[in-house]
Amino acid sequence: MNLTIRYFASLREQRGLNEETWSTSASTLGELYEELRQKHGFTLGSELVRPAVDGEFAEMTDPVADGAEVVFVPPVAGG
Amino acid sequence: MFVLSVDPIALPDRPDHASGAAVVFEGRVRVENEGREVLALEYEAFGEMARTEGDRVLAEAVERFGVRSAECVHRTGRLELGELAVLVRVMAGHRREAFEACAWIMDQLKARVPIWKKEFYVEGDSGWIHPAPVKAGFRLDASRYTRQVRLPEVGREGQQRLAETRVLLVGAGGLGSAALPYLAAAGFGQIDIVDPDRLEASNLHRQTIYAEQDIGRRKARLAAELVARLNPGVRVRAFEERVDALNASGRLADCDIVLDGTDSLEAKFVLNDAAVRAGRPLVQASLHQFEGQILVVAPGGPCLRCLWPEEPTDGCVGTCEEAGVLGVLPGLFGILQVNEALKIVLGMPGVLRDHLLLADLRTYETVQIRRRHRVDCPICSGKERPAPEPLTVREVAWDRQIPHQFESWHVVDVRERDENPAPPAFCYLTWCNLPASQFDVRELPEGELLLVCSRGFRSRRLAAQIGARAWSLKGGVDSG
Repeated sequence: MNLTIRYFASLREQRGLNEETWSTSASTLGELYEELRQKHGFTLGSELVRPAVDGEFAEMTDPVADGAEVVFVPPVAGG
Repeated sequence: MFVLSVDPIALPDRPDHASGAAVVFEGRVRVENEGREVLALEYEAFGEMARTEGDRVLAEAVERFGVRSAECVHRTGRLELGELAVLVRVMAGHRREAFEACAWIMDQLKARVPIWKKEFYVEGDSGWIHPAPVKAGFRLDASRYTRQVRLPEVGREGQQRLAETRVLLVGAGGLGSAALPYLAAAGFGQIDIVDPDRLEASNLHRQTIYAEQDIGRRKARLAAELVARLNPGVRVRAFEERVDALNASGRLADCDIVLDGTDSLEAKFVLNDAAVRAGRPLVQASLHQFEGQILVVAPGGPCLRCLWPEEPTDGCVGTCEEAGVLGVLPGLFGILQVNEALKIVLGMPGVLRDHLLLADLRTYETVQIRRRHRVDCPICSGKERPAPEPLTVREVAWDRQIPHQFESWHVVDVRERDENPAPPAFCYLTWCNLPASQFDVRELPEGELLLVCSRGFRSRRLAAQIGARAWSLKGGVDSG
């Protein structure tokens, strides 16, 4: 299935992209993140990243649906 | 003449045969301020500016009241309890104008002359205070707020509500220094500034309220001096400390709303926990290079731990120091924090209490992501509660006849244990004691509440925090 993935902060930096279309067979958001992490070399573990699907925060254990827009938000501390 | 003195005050006699009245006011160091026990005081004046403004006040008093002379000596340095802090002497033909001028001079000195008072409390901490506010609004141009009062969402009532709102600003760095001029200008009644740091050269590209000549000085003080200059009607206090789990609840107890401008995740979680426990709305922003995030933790809404059940540590994310930041980013997000604070106090819709707003300044991409309660959240326990009323207080005076409507109410006594709280003699309602210093909205009884304390100040503050189902006993039980 095809998804739109959006990145913020350090993930965006490490990916070098704001957004990409991604084909996956991952069944959960957690599996999807692990797949992206291995592919793109993200340093943050999945326990430190919050997923959101179609404008709502979700859980890493939630299923992935075709056509969804998935955002991964890392913690940000600067002030 | 206005004189600043490091030595104990002594005012020589002034022979003047045309003066039939000399009114002398002595201000002394008092043991208590706003419910806190004070050990000693330290006054620090903003030298030349204090003398110039002090002289101006005295000259205006002579002119305004037609008195023959007006003098003032103000102490600086450390003073013990009972010591003379300020002395005003007015001489006039007759006593009435001398009394009036003397009172006016004191009001003006407090509002206009940049003299700071550091109180040392029994608990071991201390705080700098610029002793505003200006009650009568002297010298405050009546048109100051007209452009925002004209907005239907603000109006006179909204402006009054702002004047009654006490803001706690944690961090006077990038976010805090951007928020501050707008907080002061909007007319918030009190601003407490907490920041332990001294100004560094590397701050200046984004912290634009500070000047190069101030490098090395404490930011909390510099920021507070700015507020005093921008809007003398604001009561401002500077706390030169780092916020932590120990001091957070004390700072929050004295405010109605919190702006978090810290640059550490640890501090953000400390403030989240303290704000949820105290029932204060908290506006948090965080930055990364060109991107910002902002959210509101409001009483009854999802909190930061609902979003991050596993508290990330500072080591895993970059601060501005490590990751870099474009100067305008904290500027924009600090101002957005003030925007949220204004909306909360004015009871406007659209507050980010259920959302996280992300924005990227390079692409102008913004996204709002809906946040929800986490059922097992250790701090806010995930129970959906209705949104609280705007910060308003309903007070009732005790006229011996308990109004019929109060008969089913609970009396919540917020006096401290060492004040020996007990049901007041006139009380036949259900009574319980929840000391203000450990106040936790979750411990309140169900139903309608009447909050009481000794004089009606603490109960008023806490009733505002609880919202619609709470009233405060005006004047406190001591007036019953």
